[in-house]
Amino acid sequence: MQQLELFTVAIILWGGILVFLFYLFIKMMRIQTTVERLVQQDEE
Amino acid sequence: MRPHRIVLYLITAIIGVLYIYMTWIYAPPEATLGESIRIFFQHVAPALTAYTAFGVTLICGILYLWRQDIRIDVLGGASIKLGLLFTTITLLTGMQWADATWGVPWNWDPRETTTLILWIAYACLWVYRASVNDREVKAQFGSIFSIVAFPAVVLSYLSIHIWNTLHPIVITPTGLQMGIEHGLTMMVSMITILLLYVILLELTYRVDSSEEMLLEYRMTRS
Repeated sequence: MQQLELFTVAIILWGGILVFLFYLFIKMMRIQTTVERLVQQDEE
Repeated sequence: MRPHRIVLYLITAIIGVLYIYMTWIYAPPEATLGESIRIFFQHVAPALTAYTAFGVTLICGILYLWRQDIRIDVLGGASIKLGLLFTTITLLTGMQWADATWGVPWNWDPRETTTLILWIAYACLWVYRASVNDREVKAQFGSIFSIVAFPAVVLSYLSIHIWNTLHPIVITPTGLQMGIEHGLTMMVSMITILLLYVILLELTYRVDSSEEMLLEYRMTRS
């Protein structure tokens, strides 16, 4: 039981940071896609 | 990638590995808490980092009202997100700690309650910033809100000194109330999480700045 509790805490800490990094990545990808679309529209 | 960034990432990676080693192997079990002391090293550092993040938000709020520079507001907004991230980690790891030592994950202890109030205050600020379209209004009121919300940080920190609590008082004016191995692990955990905060703040600032530039471009285009 104690091992499970310790493992859960490690998952919360590192998992939380990884989820945040994933959120930033998704946001960056969305910005990039929008910029590409706008550039394409301007060229047309 | 710029050299200073590579150096920062390398130092953080090295100290991060040291932190994991010290938390799981180096630090001995505590006399009364046993292995549960390892939860402690993953709970206190995010808590103090969250306070730091909200402190940065406060400074950015004051500076924005003084200088009216939108970049300062973007930095403050990025720090709110990280403060919320580390407060969430603090609350969840704290619940694990409480479950292991007190037998219940949540018992409305003053520290638990004030930290939850802190989380709600800054979550409201985040939602407010996300819902306002007018850039000037968002920055103005967001800055005022960040100043008004900061007493929640002070209250959360001082709650264990103001009210009777089950929460251990580890950091006192005379220093850390723990053994040398635990104190060293605590210090390394603080440095690691603070370095991670700096890296994440810089990344979030860059992403949010790009979003700001995109919004500005869209405005001029339309």
